Amino acid sequence: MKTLMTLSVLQTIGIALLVVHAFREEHLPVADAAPAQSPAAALAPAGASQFDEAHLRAILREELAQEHIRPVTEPIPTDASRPRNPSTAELQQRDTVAQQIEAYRATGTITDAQMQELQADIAKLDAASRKQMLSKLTRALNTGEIKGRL
Amino acid sequence: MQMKLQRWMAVGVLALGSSVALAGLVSDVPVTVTLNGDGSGNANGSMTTARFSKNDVEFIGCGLRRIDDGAGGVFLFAFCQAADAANVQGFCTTDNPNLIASIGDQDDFSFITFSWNTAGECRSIGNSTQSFYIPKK
Repeated sequence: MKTLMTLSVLQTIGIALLVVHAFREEHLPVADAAPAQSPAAALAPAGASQFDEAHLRAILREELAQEHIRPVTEPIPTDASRPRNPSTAELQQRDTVAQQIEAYRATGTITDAQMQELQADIAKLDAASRKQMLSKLTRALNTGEIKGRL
Repeated sequence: MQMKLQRWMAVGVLALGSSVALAGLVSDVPVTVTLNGDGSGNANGSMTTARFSKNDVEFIGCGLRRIDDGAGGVFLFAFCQAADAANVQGFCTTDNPNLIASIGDQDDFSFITFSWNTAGECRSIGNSTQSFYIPKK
């Protein structure tokens, strides 16, 4: 993406230089007997052509150098944003909650107080396990395997 | 004398009747719960209709839970639940901040609608607060 943007900037600068160049050429008297020159040199006087070419090269060098020294702005994933694997203790807690849900499924019912207690246990889990256990509980309620309310 | 009394009674009955008729539009929307074979589903209905229905099972509503996680944080999630007259029940939960925010839009006499995916996670939560959902006098 950055390379594309750099190339786009360079292209724009190049076009601008060509436009300026062409504009100057229009206002210069045409030489009757011009010596054999390169196509670029033929468009402008020798001095102007050399200046533009050198100037363009300088701009290119500058842009490329800036591209190399520019700091990386893309966000580096931090420990907080990167999903981490749950610890053994967290896995044990999750298994305990899963067993509780299974027990309620076996009983077929859950009271409001038990539901609150279960939700408090789910709150202590890591984010992924919370989602997993809430889903397990909700699915059991939807299938009617556990009768109760959230 | 008796004739006059009967006439006045008739006028009174008519007057009372007309006041009831001019109470405005009332819309009863019983709770419906649809459970799909893959575990997904949806439910909707008017809170007023559910509350004053002739059965003792019908209900619909959504809520929030903020629970101390014991580590300095709070676990926040929202849920919706409903049961129709046949006691078919539907539930969903979500930790999606935008869906959680929609719970705050619900009012005392709202019509509520929600749906969930195969995991029981809420996919949509909506409400409509209209005068015709307010209970009759």
